Amino acid sequence: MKIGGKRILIFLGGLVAGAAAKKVLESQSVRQLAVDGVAKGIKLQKSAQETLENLKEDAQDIHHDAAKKVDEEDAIEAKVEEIKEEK
Amino acid sequence: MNFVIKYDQPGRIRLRAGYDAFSETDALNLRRVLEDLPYVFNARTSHKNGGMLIYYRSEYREDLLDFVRDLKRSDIDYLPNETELESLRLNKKFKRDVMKVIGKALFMRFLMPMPIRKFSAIWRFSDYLDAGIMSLLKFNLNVSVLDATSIGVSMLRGDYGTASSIMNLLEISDIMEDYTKKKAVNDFSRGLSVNLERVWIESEDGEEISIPLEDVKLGDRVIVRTGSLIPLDGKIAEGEAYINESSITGEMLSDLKQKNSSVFAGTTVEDGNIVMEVTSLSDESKINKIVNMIEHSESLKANIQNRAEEMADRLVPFSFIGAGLTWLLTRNTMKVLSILLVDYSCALKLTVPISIISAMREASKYKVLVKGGKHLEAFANADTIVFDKTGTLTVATPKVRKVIPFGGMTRDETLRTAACLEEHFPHSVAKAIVKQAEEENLYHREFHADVEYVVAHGIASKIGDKRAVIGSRHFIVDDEKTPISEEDEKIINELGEKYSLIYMAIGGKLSGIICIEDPVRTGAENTIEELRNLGIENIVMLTGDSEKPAKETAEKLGITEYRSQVLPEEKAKYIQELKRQGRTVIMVGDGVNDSPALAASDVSVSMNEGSDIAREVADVILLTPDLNALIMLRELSQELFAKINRNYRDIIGFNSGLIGLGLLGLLPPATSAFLHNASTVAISLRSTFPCLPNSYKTV
Repeated sequence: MKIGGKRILIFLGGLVAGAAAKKVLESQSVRQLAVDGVAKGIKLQKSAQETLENLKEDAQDIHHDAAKKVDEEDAIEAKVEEIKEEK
Repeated sequence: MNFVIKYDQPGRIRLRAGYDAFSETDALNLRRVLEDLPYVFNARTSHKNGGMLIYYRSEYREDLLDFVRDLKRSDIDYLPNETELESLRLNKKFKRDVMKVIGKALFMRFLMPMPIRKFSAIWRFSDYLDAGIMSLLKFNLNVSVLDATSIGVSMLRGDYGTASSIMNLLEISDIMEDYTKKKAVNDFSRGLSVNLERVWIESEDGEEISIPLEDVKLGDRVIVRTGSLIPLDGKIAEGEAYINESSITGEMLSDLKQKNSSVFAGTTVEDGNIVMEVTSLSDESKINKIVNMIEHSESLKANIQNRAEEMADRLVPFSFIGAGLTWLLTRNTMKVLSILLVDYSCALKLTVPISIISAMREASKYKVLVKGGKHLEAFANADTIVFDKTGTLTVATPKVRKVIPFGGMTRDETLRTAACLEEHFPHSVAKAIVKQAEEENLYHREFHADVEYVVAHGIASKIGDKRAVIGSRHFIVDDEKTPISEEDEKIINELGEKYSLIYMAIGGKLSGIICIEDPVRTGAENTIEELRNLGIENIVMLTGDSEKPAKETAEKLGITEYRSQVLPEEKAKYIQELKRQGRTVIMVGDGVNDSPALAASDVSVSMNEGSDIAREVADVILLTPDLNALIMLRELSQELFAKINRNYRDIIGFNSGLIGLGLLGLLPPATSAFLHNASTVAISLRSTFPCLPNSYKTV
């Protein structure tokens, strides 16, 4: 019976916990908290997407400038070669 | 719109407006709005950070910035272009999926300890094992069994590395196959919407230009002429017309609508011309309906496709046998694996549908709508073609040449009465009569009672209390028993030498003869000759018209086989007889009276200006008045099947080569799998290449 008593207590404790959890889940304020939490999560995701996209764009711009620079340098070299050959 | 400038060089500027600036659909539309600006060459937008990358003429920097600053949400209201959105989504999904697989693979390989990798491999294998066993239980030896075996054998040898690579490769090739297929369908859709759904709008300087339906904006002035469908909801800005709203209200008679009246998408302008201002854009698209039908209709699959699938499955056991023999002869598991990983079926099963749908798209480029692969197949194999005469071989609108009154009526009265009776029907001869009356300003009030259309014969109605009929000689003289005097008969015979005759009788007395000239379409003789050269041995013309005009037309076009005075059911019977003789028959027609024949043929073609019924029933719709489209279609379809056969040979050749190399031990399994999958994707991509050269003269 002693062992049984412990078990009964645990069982009863479980019942109480369950009932309390149900009450909590049904409460409006808790729901509101959950909605807010998920909303924050979504905002975070959007913000992360935004940052990622910004990074991608900046990289594109850098690439563009670099390619342009290389092209310009190549053009100058070509001109130099031309002049040399003419001499 | 508020934004910051992130990159600012002459001709290239990047603006950023934040993640809440515009939505995904708005992004597409915004891009179009920007590219519409005359000084902008190119624009890219992203809804993720509200970014806009614009290439433009540098002198207009200030104008551009002002424009964007002043941009409001309502300015970017366009038709949400489903097909383009879908295409973007497809591309994104594809990249994402591939990245995921590669990412996971790298992650596992470099960051995870062996036990976890082993476990992950076994976990992933369970799906393949599942599929393989399910197939085996159905006594079906197919690719799933092949894949499961090769992965399983690798794992049994403890080679988890190879097992994982194989699974990764299979996943990636699955993604690629899925993408290629969906892309082909999407491209077809886009082709249709750009090539086929076009409207005429009035540009700012009053010119008429033809643009794809999706480019229409609110407030655009769309021109709709007699006989055309109203594409979008709007308000009449100019002109007036009788609009038939039966598709919405069920009301058969048309209503006169004038300036400022509302008109609705899907209704037709029966008579008149209007310029309408678009007031709302809808996204229900004819195109989507057609594509859905094509995608989901099993019965439209070409036979060759079914045969390909069957053959592919039948080849699988050979892979096993080959692998088994190799094992017995060499005891070398690596070799066995290399063989197991090469199969013919995936490539075979992919190349055929992709080729077919790409061909359908190519056809749409040349203004021909083909409703299924089956029809391309029939068209390529046909040895007989049957043409209707009026409206098909001859132009859609014949011309009234003479109006001869009888029985005391004046010429003008005769024409006016005839037009009044004929105006409700889409028959090409009716259109000619009505047009002539219009040109002569012979208008009328509706003074007849209910009109009855007697198919292929004519029209019957009542004027006052007298029965009025108009139509063919057979109808007026034989059926309605209208007497004709000898002198009148002489006149008629003379006329009949040169023209098609329409008879009109009121109250049992002959009241008029209308002489119609039915000129042959330009280039028709050329079409007939070419078709003969392309292997269509029998060319036949069937017409309800009388003998003389039929003979004349046939001679002009070089058609030796023709029948005149044919009733619709007789047309169908003739075609069935041809089929019984084992011929593959193409039927080309345009009218209501052609539908039974169209349905009877192996593949039916409807003309552009044909009746709605013909277009519904037909397997192929020509959206151009040029008969040479038939030549194009024949060449296209024949080339298509030649291409498919070439692909077959390449698939079998290449994969057999891989097996051979595997046998010789020259190819490790992972390489073998890679090459196999790469070739599958490459051949699938090649299937999307056009059948006809780019320089093919546009119809």
